[in-house]
Amino acid sequence: METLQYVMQAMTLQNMWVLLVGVVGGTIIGALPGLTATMGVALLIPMTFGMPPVMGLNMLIGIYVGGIYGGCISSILVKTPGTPASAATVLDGYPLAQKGQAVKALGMATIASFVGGTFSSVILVLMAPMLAEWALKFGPPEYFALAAFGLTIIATLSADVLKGLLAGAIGMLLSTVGADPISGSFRFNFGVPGFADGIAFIPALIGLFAISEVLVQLELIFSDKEKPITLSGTIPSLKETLACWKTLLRGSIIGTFIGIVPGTGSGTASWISYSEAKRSSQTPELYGTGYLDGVAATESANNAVCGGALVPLLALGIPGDSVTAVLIGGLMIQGLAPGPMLFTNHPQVVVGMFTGSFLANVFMLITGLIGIRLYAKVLDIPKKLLIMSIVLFCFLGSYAINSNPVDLLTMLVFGVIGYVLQKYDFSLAAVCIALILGPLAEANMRLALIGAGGNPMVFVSTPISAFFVALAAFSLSWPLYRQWKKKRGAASR
Amino acid sequence: MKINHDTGMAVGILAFCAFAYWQISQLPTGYGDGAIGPSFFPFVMATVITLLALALLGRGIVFSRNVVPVPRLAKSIFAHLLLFLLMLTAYALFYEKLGFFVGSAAVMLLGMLLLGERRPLFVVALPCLVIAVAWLGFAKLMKVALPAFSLF
Repeated sequence: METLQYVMQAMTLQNMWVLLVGVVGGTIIGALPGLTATMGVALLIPMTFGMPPVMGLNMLIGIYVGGIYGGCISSILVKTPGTPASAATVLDGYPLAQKGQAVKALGMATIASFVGGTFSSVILVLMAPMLAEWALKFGPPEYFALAAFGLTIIATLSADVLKGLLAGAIGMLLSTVGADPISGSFRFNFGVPGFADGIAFIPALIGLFAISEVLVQLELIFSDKEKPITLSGTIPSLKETLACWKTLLRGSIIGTFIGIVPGTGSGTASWISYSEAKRSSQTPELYGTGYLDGVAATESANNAVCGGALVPLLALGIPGDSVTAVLIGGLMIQGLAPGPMLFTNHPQVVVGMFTGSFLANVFMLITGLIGIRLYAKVLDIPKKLLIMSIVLFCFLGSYAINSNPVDLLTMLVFGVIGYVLQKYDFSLAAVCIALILGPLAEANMRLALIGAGGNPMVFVSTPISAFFVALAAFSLSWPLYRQWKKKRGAASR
Repeated sequence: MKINHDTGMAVGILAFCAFAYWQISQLPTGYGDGAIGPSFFPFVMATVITLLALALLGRGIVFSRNVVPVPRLAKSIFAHLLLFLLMLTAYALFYEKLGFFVGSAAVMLLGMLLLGERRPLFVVALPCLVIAVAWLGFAKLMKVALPAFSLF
């Protein structure tokens, strides 16, 4: 009964309006090449500062869902993925547009995104509470082991394992700036009062994901070529949609479970779903030639990641991908910590987010099908104006939280760090996840060691912590083994 | 030793680690019966970074032929980026003094000019519209206190 009450609270007109704004805003951000869902969420987190928790968090979920979906628009129309998650959609979406069936491709992408997103929302509602209940049994050793597992999966975030680990370790060291979590003594604050509470997380995120992207786009701006956009065709019929049901279901399952595994993401899910659909098809030769099934495979999988990635975030406090890592910032400015206690202390927020996850997909379907032609117009926005507008919003967003000018410098420094790291193939998501998990890992590691008289065996003393340590060891060694095997294979050839 | 982008980055990170160790040495090492004090975790992380950076350096030297070079920026693009960053730094430093309207208008105007835009609609009119929308969203809708001009 209480749950129903929370659902109704999340469905007020005001909440639904804000969620709709989030979905539409996210779709526009996702449609613009170079702007990702991660950047959209990072940029708009400060906007949610004055909102009630459910409203603010649902707006961010709307941006997330809309952002991942919106990437397909530019993939299909101009052969330029709006987000990395939609890169695989280019393969069949763009040929369909060239055949004069752009609206059909966009329609199928919208329906597939809705199916994938809704499927993953169901799994989120079923799995997250069970996982959270299990996590209530955790003490310091288990929490450290869990954080260590979360950090080792950083290795899989980066194409280069060594650089992924380096980025993660640098993020962890940066997370120690400010007051020590146990003794309260200041560390590395260089006498700057603004650093007493550590590095301001939201400005750092805005710098890492938005300012760094602005710098990358500035580099490209001089060689940018306009591509003509033509829209024709009709949305897919019910018969055409039903003909893809197997692909839609397969993509939804793949996307959801890839989302649940921390450290992967929408891009991986859509490529795996595409190759699985092609492998199991009776007409694999049609893939890549403008085949509706190809669009269904990629778009159902990448949007299914959204709900999946929220499972470890809400239940364990471990982000499933880079967007959910940034989403933690949204929870933090509401004074909420993700993890099992969120389910115990703030059930209305959890149920509100579940409801928002479903509604975001419904809004995405409706606005997507109605606004196909309008969204395409977004691609006409002059890039120079867009970049300067992003800069303006980065400054506003970073300043709005604490009204502290030091936060603006933090944002710029992290922007430059993010730009350099991107240039040298380091994972920004790894730095971000490490900044989040660093304090959790440090506090629990030290508490566990102090409690055990400095004996490191405390981390394998209980089945749960031993399980996470084993998982951490596996996730660390698996990519190294894969890389070694690949190199060996190449050498033998 | 040939400098490629892996070895260069590794040397930079090692220099950062040296600075980090020096800073860590200024922190209290521990209290009570152990050495698990405020410097413990930063020390562990600095050591991990050092080891990983040494591995990157070693890889960069041994497999130098496999390292894909980072394309060098053209001098003009680098100069533009530097100017842009200087402008943003000045904007950050004077954000409270210049106030939201004056500072944002100046940065939008200079930024658009720096990006090569010369059409009045794009240099003046549309940026003013963006500033107005941002002000409405943050100051009016979200009730965020934005700084007012206070230079004099």
